[in-house]
Amino acid sequence: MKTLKISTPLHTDFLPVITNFIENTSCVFGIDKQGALKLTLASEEVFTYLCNVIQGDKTLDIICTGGIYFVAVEFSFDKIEIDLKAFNITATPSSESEESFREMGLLIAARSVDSLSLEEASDERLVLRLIKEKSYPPSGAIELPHIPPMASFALKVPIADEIKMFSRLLPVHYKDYPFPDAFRCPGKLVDMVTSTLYGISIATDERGLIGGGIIWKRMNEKIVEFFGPYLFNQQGNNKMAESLINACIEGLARTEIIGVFCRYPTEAFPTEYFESIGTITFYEHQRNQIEFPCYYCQLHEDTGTYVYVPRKIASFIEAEYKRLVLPRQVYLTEYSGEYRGDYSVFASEFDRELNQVIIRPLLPGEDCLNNILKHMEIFKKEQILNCFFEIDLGVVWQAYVVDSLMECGFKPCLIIPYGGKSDLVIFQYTP
Amino acid sequence: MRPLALNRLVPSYIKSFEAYIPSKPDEELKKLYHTPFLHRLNNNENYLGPPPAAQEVIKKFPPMRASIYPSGDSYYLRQKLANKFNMHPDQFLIGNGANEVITFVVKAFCQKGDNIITADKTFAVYEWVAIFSGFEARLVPLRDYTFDDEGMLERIDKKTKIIFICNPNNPTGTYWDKERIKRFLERVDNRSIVVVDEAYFEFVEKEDYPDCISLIPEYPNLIVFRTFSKMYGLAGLRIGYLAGNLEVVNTVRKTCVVYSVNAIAQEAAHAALDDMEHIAKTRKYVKEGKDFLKNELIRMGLPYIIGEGNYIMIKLPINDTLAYRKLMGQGIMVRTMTGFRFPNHIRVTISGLPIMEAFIEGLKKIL
Repeated sequence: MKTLKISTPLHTDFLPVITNFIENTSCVFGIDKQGALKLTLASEEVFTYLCNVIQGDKTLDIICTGGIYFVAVEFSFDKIEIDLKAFNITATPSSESEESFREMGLLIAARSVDSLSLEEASDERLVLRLIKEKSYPPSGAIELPHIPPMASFALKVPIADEIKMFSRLLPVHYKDYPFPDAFRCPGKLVDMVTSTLYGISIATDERGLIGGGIIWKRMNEKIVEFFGPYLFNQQGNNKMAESLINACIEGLARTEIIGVFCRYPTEAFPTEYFESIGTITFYEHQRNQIEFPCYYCQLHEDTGTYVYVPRKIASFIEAEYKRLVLPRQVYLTEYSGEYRGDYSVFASEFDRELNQVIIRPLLPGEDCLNNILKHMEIFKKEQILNCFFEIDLGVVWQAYVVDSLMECGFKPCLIIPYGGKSDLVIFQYTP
Repeated sequence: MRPLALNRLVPSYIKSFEAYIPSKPDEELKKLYHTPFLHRLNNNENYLGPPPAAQEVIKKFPPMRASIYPSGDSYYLRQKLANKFNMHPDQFLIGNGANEVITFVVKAFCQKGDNIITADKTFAVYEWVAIFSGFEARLVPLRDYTFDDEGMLERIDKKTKIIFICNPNNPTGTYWDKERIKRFLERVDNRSIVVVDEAYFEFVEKEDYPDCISLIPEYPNLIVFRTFSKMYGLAGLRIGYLAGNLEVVNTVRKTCVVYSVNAIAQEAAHAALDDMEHIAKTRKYVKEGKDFLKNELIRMGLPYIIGEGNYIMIKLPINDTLAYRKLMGQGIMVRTMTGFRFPNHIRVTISGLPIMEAFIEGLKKIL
């Protein structure tokens, strides 16, 4: 990945420099003109907002990264108490005050890009990251080969044309199966793999026909989520499924990755390699619902960690730790009225094809319950049926969100060991 | 003061490298897993401990000598090794465990753009040292659980400085016989240094297993590693050594950290080398343990890979890290093999029969 960085005083006089930098860099990094303009607009709003709310003689670092299928702009600044509530997907200006218009700008920023996230880079610094993905043409109508059952096969890292073929075969063989929308787009899948943020392994016969494959991506620095194994006309070929899983796990062994996780296992999934960490219910528009047991495989020996557990889910957590034999130092905790700001901030990650949203808390606030309710109203209007909320048990204030979450109809459904600073609990909303 | 620009200071190959996190001390693990005892079957340590003569040295070490620096280059131990192998003392370098001598060799021969070759499923430290030193590690898949000589030869190029062979291989226990080692060395033809790691040398009784130190006069590019951590039961003192051609070892010596081996380790290793009875006793319990485990595992229907060395690898019908946690709950610590690129396998150190029985009981409970 290529990066360009500028450091600028936080003053609106420098706005033309910033917008030129973002627009030109985005174009050089391969994003189309329209995408570059949207990212520039979002960046302009963020910069203006930060100039207004951060007082004094401060410097802002802006890093533009070309990730082959996306361009990311990161704003790195001192952690100060600034009101980021407009980054909630629910945010609307409350009045015509100057502050409200500022927030409106941030709302525009949040909605002009594909992803927005706010992270703590260190105790002193925050990083606000905007990501705009490239546009790709949809998969063309190409006659697909008949795939015969394969008695023998070889595993390989596919070349670009094989990735495209895999992308075309996948929706045909897994028509009614949930997987990320991007996998349907051949060019995008090639770029995602080239970026190294995604990995792929396929099984081919001696003629080069693709019998199956597996894809994985980093959820964060420690956890990889994988998709598959997908088998094309290879029902019952346990050896192929097992080999694909092995390829994925062996490729990640001796890296910083602690665990691999599968949200939507296929029928071919070899369960003996994994631990069942809970169940997700996948809701379809026709009100069908499918239960997906989720699986996890830890790659490192567990040396133990600590968790902050709210009392409301203590029995669930303790039962799961006992079942999974996870060595954890559990600190039971509850909110005791300490100061936490007026407004909470959540980041929402959408996957329209899966009809799914994942919400992650970014900042605590007194309005937590209302904020969750407002989010749920929006998702209801948008007819999003699969709503998940992630709570990091390694971050004490996130535990305080749990009471509000449960009041709004969320229930804990699974634990991903080391999925965050410590373990991650996924809550699901029952529509 | 300006903020520390770590991002600029740290090389990219260090940024992308993940530090190895060793397991916690036994007392902490016992607390974590709520177990009153812990059988360590994870590091291939010797159940009998050090040979009696080495134990005496350790017991009698005068505390006041702790204030005095040790011999900087393990003078007397090198003399002893020279006598034992009929070589010059300067043909040996002693390190703080074999891991340290791996680092010496990589530092001595590799520079920017160079590569090392080893297997994908073997002792991880060759690969790690190369990567965190900024060099490429070319990993050749094992063939039938054995180092693939042809595959390794194919990967050699002008930038290949070192080829690491673990003989017998940890964790599969396979080995190259003398003929195969010699054939490989002939074909490498002095283009690269060939390191043969013989950490488990003293455990092997097979007649065709080579003593590579005896091949050094014939092959100047050959370096042999041995350790006192396994057979000689001195893992806690950290001491190992390398042997090689005089000119080659003199080159490696330039990168060697002197005074890194403590006085007790040097003296205990010196005393351990004479004890042939200890080797015989160890081989005996390892054989009994292997026979017992093989029978039990066959009864349980569990596939295993067993060869030379004091370890066995078992394929489980469950995830190996889950098995690790469940066994830890019963006071048994094994090595998960996913990190060795063998998912669902565990490696178990062969120990005394009572402990092997406890292990099998524990395994039955968790499966």
